[in-house]
Amino acid sequence: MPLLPGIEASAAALFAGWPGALAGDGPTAPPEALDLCRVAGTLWVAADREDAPVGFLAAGDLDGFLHVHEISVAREHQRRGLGRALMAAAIDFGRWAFIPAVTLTTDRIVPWNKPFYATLGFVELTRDGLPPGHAAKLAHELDLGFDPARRCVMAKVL
Amino acid sequence: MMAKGFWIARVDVRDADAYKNYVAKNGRAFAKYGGRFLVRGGAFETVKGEARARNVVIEFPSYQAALDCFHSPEYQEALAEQKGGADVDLIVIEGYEGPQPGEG
Repeated sequence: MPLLPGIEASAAALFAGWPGALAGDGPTAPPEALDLCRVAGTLWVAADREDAPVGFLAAGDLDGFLHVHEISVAREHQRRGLGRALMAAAIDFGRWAFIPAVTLTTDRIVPWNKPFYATLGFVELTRDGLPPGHAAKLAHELDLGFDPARRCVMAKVL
Repeated sequence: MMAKGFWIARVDVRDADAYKNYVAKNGRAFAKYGGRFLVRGGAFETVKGEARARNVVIEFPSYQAALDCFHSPEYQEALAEQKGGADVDLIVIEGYEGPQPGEG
């Protein structure tokens, strides 16, 4: 658990060449938020051969959907399918738990954001008619400085 | 080494909405008592007798932990969400540590 924020920071470094995709050096997810996901059984960790964590996906309930709060893979372990595997675990859990959809917020342009999630079957939701928790989260992210023209909510129906 | 404990559960869900609330809450109890899914769903064939649609094997560090988990306030609170939404066969059972066929 204590290693997960470092993974997130390492993954975020990749956004350095993508101005507008991040709100500056945003803080990593607080440990207590990750722990809430862990005890709820909706924190998935990818580990290397030595069992050291190299990626994670933290999700939780939002408006009755399984919402991905954070998915990060350490920089040196990217492009090996770990993000896809982590997302597959969350989708599998969602189906198991009769959750109607997996949702997330992301950037429209960065290749490993919306275009990546689209390959997994996620579609963008229009801002009109977002469920209240999702509308509030998007508004909060825009307050933090994310580009309103690029931030979006996506969902994969299970 | 102390024998592990297991839950072996077979479930037919009748009311997905009620069952969904149960699944959303039961992870808390499993995490607290060290439960790990060895089987959760997965392909299966009924080769003899009767089967149910959802099958689960959960491993606990000990038989006592497996029993304590079932009786815990956390699990009972989750269970209350089922509200009869499922037909369940569940046993809590001690693991086997003795010699295996073909050994010694």
